[in-house]
Amino acid sequence: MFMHLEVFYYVFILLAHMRSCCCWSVNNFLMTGPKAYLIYSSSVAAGAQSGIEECKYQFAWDRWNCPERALQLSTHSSLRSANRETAFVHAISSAGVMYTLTRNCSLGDFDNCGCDDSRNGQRGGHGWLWGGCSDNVGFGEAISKQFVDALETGQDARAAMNLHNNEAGRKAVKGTMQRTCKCHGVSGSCTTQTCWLQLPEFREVGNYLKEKYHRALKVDLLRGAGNSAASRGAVTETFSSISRKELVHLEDSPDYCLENRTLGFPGTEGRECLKKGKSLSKWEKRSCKRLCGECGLAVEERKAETVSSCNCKFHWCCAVKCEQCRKTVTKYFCVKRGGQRGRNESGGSRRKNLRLRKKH
Amino acid sequence: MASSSGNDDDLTIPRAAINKMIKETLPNVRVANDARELVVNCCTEFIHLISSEANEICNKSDKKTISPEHVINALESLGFASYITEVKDVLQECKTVALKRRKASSRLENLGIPEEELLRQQQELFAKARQQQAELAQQEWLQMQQAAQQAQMAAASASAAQQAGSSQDEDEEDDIPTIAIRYLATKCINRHRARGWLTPWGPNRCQQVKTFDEPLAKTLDANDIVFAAHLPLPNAEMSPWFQYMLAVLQFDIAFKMINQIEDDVVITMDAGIACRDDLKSEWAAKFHSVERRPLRCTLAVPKTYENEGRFYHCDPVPFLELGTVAHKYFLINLRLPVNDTVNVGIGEIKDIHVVGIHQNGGFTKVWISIKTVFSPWILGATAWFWHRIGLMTRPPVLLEKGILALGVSMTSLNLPVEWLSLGFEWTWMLLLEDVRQGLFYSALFCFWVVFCGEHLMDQSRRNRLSAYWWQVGLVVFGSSVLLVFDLSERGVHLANPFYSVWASDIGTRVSMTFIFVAGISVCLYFLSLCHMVRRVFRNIGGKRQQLPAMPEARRLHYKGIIFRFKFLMLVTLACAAMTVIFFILNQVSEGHWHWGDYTLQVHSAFLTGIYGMWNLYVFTIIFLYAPSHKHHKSADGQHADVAQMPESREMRLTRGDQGPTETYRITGKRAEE
Repeated sequence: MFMHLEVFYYVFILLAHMRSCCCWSVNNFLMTGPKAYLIYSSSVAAGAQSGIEECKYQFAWDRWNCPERALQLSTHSSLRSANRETAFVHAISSAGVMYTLTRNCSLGDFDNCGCDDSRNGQRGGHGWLWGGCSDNVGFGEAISKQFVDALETGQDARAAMNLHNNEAGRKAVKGTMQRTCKCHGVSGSCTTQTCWLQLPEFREVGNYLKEKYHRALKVDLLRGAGNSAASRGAVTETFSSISRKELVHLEDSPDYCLENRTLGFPGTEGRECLKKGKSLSKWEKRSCKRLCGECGLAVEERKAETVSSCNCKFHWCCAVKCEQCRKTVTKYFCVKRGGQRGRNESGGSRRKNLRLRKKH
Repeated sequence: MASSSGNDDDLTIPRAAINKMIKETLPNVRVANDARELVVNCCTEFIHLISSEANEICNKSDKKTISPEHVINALESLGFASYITEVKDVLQECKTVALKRRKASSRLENLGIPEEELLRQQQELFAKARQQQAELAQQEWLQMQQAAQQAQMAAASASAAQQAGSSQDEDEEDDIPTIAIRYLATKCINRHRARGWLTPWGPNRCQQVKTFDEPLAKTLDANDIVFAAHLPLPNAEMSPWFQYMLAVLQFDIAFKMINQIEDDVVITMDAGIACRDDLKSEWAAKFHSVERRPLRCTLAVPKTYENEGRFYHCDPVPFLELGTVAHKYFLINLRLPVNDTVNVGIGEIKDIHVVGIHQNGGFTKVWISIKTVFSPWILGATAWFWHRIGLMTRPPVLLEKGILALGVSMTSLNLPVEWLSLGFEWTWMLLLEDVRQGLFYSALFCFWVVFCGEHLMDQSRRNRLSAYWWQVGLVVFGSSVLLVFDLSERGVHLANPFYSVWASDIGTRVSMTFIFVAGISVCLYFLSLCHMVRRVFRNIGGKRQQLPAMPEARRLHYKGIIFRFKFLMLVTLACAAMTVIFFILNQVSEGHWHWGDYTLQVHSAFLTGIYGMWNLYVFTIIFLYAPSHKHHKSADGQHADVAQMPESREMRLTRGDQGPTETYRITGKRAEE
């Protein structure tokens, strides 16, 4: 996991760096050179990770549970899928990057955020004095665009789809922001009021994108579309006609019940699911049926004893005085029915194909 | 040639490849078809043989993947040792080809940079990253400054190009009079309660934790944590042009079953603000105070274990109000002291956001310029008006005095004393502005009452303010209540900018009472004003019916009065309606209106427009109601001109410049009769 992220973020740096030196797309951030990117890179990495963590949370009770392989956003992986889940991963990652950059910007981590208003063309000085600065969100959005979109170097339908979903992720952050106002006119009246947008907690962005995931649009482009210039035009046209808030995908999702090593998901065997509980949502309550029952697996009940804190006395920020309580909890897992079917189906078939004849 | 692919027994090497190989090795020899078939079969068999052997060797060595070494070993064990050197060469070749292919697929080659160069760049980048990390603590600050200057120049040149390139899909709020900037407070560690100011960034940054989940944070006591926010963000500085600065706090409080926010909880903050004018000098403490604020939070989701970690939605907490921005850098340090009685049940505070609000420098410039332009005009008009009144033989009547008061209050509102706030650190500027505005409103309200009263045309004498004691009393009472309220909030801010009337229960109740009372008196005032206007219209209706029966001169008088009243009524209503409409739209439309694709920025334009409109209103009143000097020259007697110069008076009356005296004369005479 750790190694993986490391690689992830160096890929980011390298790609971004290559962009800055090769394509002369004039841009404030690029003009400051690759050094500027190093300031952002740790935030970008943290943002991408928060995106993936949110993905894992959102899909904890789905058949596809955002496995590690989902991290690979780059075009390098030869087996790029273009399904609903890929769309979500792209959106949540770019949202996470934007979110973290925006947050760290308001911490004062970067020297040029907020006031890097492209309209004023100047930082700090006159522009800030005259009209204030654009919001930190604009900054987060711009840098996120630089970093995450830089991974899509291709010009095919898949690249267009990924770019679209990245944008949808960033729009989700903007869309979930909350507006707050303060009145400060004469005698505190509302003759003058100032409003601002407050970043929501990231969970809300996740919830929003999960909604969008369920309503993702399928674009039928793969069939018959070559790589000619004409079809490229068609691709851009198709994508620009879809609202930038929506997620799009090109392929249908595979059956996530079964293990598939080439695509990198482990199947639902051995997964935990939820059954009973007062406060569970409908989606969560049906998770055992979805994960086990509909995948031809049985549900196994396991009892476990846990030690948890209780009767706590809490003092902000960090002191908690608790007693320890033991209680038994029941957990549910998906297991094979009878214990022979699974292996024959998934693991065995591949080996059979590669079976080697020994002749002497 | 159907080498059917369904059955894996039929899987063979492509015949074409074998043919080609045969042709290459033996170009001049013809080979029969069945011989070719045999060669193919032999090849296949050979491959099967080698693979089986390699598979076996692989299995023996407990590996799952057949590696080249296994194949070489298989060759040896099957007695093909002579091939091994050649095989090794081929393997090497294979590896390089595969590597190249992988590189090619990653599109690095398309970039036009040789691979070695890229590798070197990557290494360099990594090295730089490491180096930078090491240097960061000491040198970041200087680098930032330099980079900022360079970037500023670069950005200036780039801005034009970027403007064309970037798609401006979102509407930026550009043209608003005030701006709010969010600062996320850094959590600094201050273990021994040392005195001194903690900076979130810069050369002497404090020791800090990113989150309270860090192991380091677990060793901390709540009293060791100081939330620090530096206003403004790096690379910017505050300016006196900002006029005032407000700060509002927003808390990120996570829901925990064992640590929920209690009802009606009060948060206690030990807050301080410091300032300095350059980046190197010490922070100078400005104010320090321990403040208590009510914390009002709601949780949008059910309070269950599953929802632990979700954030409460908390109302923004008013924090600070500075009447002047006389320094370049401000530092807020905030502690949440905890003991058994203080700050218990405030939930798990994760973060504190400070929202800084100040007026835009650009708006201040426009505003002060407008005032500078308007003030000599209104001042001149007022002086001219009083001069005209002084030329007359009779003493000024109440309406004229009212107009004068309106002119004077408008002048005082226009007086651009804000210029001085740029040079002096006067914190009472906000208060003064409020008082000036209050004075103008009071004068305007009184003028309306007097104006309506003068047009009632009932036969009572009204040439004194006591005739309107009821309405004027309401205005004076309401405005003085508001003044007291304003003094109790903004007045106290002079001494303690952290103070808030709303923080305590009693304060809240008292200020609510003040506002309620003021609201009631304003409502009563408007009710009675409406009542007066209604009576005026009724009287006008009565007079209209009598008009044909009147003598010519009197008819003209009344016509003039009616016309003038209707004209001013219309103008006033239009102004008031415009103000109200713009105000409501301003509140509702979030600062810009969408007309199709066209987005209109209105905030600043709205404020300056309304201000200009009322200036024009006052100017018009003063100008139109000034007594005519012609009248002064031609007539100084009481009744002499009434019958003698009807045609010239009609002209003047329609212009409305002589009304008050005429009204008084007529109503006065009628009363005497």
